[in-house]
Amino acid sequence: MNTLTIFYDAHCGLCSRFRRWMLDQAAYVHLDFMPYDSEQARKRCPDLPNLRADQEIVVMGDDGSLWQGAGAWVTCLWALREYREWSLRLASPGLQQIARRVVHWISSNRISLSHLLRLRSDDALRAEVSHVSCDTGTCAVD
Amino acid sequence: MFHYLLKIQNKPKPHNTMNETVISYTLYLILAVSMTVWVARTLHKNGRIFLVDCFHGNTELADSVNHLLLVGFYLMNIGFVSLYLKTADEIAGARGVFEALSGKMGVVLLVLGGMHFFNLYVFTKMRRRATLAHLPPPVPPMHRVSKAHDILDTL
Repeated sequence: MNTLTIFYDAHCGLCSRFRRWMLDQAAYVHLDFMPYDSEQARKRCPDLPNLRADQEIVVMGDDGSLWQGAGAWVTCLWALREYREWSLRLASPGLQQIARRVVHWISSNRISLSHLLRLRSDDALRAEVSHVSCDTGTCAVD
Repeated sequence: MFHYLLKIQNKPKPHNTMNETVISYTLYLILAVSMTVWVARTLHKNGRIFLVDCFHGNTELADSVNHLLLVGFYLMNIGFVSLYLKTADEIAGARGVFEALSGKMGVVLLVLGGMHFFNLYVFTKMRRRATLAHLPPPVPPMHRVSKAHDILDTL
């Protein structure tokens, strides 16, 4: 596998922070992030609407393999150099059950968690940047 | 004159105990250094294959690292052996030599054993890191996209 596509939630601050953190890490494979509700994501993975990607994160390998929820988190860690060993540990059946519960809880509370931690989503940042006006020669955020 | 001769005869021999201490030290150094050389050579000979595997068959790099590890091993062990040479107790007789020697050698051997296992730990850690890079994802995929060729086109 050479590319891992991660369909994340661009409206969620926690998910956007996670994306930035992952991109900062050294990875074994190329990481491609796409908002799960974008046209581009639907084009790359036509099965995405059936998977309820709005509820649990979906990750796709370039061979068409799809992971969702705890499996997707483990696959994300597997892609990173520093965390591959951890992904092997977390993949054991006992820990997967715990991971599934934890991941499900985080996914269902991700918006409130983002508010609590004051994390801004990629969408919010994009909206802010689009309000920048540069008419007067200097740029300012409205 | 007679009294003087008697005095000399009854005088305790100061060289005797010193000789036993020197014998202990000599035996200790010979034994400890030869044990260090033996362990180092064993590690050097049998650790090579581990290192070659770690460096994906790059034998030149493996040999270089192997040699550097050997130098480090010698420096640490011989350094410890020489620091641990001095004994504060008085050594008297053959029994004293054996007792002092076995006590010292026991500690040196335990330290050598510790170093040996530490080396093995480093080797396996390095080997594990090298094998990690080629491992497939640990969790099997939950679904598979039906039209995989279309997905590959968009990449």
